[in-house]
Amino acid sequence: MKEDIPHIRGFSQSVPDSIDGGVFANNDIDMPTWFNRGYTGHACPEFGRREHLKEFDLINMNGRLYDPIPGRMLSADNHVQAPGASQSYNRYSYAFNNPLKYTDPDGEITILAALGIAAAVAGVSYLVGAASNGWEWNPSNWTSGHSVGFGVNTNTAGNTSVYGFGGAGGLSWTGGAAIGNGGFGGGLSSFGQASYNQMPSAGTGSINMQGVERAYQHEYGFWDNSFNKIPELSFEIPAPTLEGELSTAYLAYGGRGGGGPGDGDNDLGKAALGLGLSTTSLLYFDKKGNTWMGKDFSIRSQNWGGNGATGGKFKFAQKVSRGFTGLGYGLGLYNAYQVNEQHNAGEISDFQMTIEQASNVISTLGGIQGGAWGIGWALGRKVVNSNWYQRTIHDRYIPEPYNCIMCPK
Amino acid sequence: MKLLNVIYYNYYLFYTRVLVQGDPHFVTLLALSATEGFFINGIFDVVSVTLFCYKIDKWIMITISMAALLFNYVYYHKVNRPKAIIKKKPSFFSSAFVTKIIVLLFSILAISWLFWGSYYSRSILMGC
Repeated sequence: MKEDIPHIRGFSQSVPDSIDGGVFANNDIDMPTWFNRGYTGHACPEFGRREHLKEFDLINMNGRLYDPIPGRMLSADNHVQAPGASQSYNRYSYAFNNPLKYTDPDGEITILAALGIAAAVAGVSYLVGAASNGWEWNPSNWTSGHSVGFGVNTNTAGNTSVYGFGGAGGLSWTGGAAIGNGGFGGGLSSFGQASYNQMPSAGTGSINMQGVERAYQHEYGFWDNSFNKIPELSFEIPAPTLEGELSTAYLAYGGRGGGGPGDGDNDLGKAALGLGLSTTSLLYFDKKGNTWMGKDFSIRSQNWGGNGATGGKFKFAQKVSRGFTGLGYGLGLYNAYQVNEQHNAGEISDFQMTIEQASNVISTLGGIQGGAWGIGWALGRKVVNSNWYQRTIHDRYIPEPYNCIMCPK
Repeated sequence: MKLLNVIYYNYYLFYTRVLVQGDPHFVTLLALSATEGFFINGIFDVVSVTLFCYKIDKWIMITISMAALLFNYVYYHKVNRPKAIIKKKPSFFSSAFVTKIIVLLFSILAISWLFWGSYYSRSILMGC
């Protein structure tokens, strides 16, 4: 702390050569990035978040710009986070002027305050859930099929604005109720994950339209105000819901985004289609089908594609075999790196990543069978992600007119 | 190159004895290239994420894998090296058991990166 004091304007006339404001700046731009994580992580210009503006000696906190030399924001804070604390009214200070205790990644609101809000939301959500279940305090006993949605977007750090609070949603889902705040507040944030997964549950629920709007905008980039005319919103989903249906929807629908409680994705549906299609691909090579692949999957001469006397049959068959194997191999290889990137970016769930990578291992290392699997998997992926499939599942599980606000385009 | 030759030979054995293939050399070439690609990309990814907070683009990874495939094709099939490898039966420390263990470990290490790599990089990048 001692070495930080000279850099705070008002205590010293000296201006450092580099941006080195100690805990106020939590950065030293001249240091290598890997030594320069700081207190709040405003580093890593290589990681697509160019938060160090070296040209201007500023830190871009995304919410606001921060000048580490005087230790002040360039613009005023929109929030009075703690009305009882005098430092809240200094709208240009960083983290209540107390960076040793608080962090403020985006310049909007401190982590501690955000945690406080999150805790408050959790508390209120729990109260609402209990109230809607006859003041039953144990969430595991919330079996009445009712859950009042709260749809709160916690927006804690400003950079995850569409991820809602999933607590009550998860609890209500556990209890068999329909849609909790996690459903639309959080699940819909990625359009399709937990929200739709939870949809088939019997019960009633309500939607916070602001949460829906933000999520919809996040997914589709626009929002039609006519959507707001949909009654605010308490609706019923047909009961009873079969466990099988729930599982099917849970696993088969909604794999386009990430996050959200439940996190189902459509992996099993995709796997089933991939398996079916890859089996079909294998059968295509079956000798019984008068094709060139024998039951032991070794290459056989067939009476198509070449001349038996010259060995043309074999060469042609080998060429075709290698083509299929290489195609499946290439698809698996591409998918392996793509899935790695998507999972890293949080676009797909852990479960989906695991299933996908297992499939890719089969595709790349499984020989001709693996190649066939890779082709089948890619086709399965194409089918499951197509709009008609998504729409079909959507219409199957979400009754009119509520499905029309979130129809896949 | 001995390491590659040993791995090639053991992969070839796998595709002729376990997962029997009609075209084992071609499949061995693909499998060896895939594991090499995963291994190299895994190392690059871990290093770049850990030291530079930089996630390597998937197209760079694919290019590296394709380069591995091209290298193996030129190194093995263009000069018909597989026949010599099979005849020589290369191994580590003249022990088939040790050789299999080393090849297995290499393969597991390379392939497992597909599963833990994105967890690792995500956890590191979130702290950047």
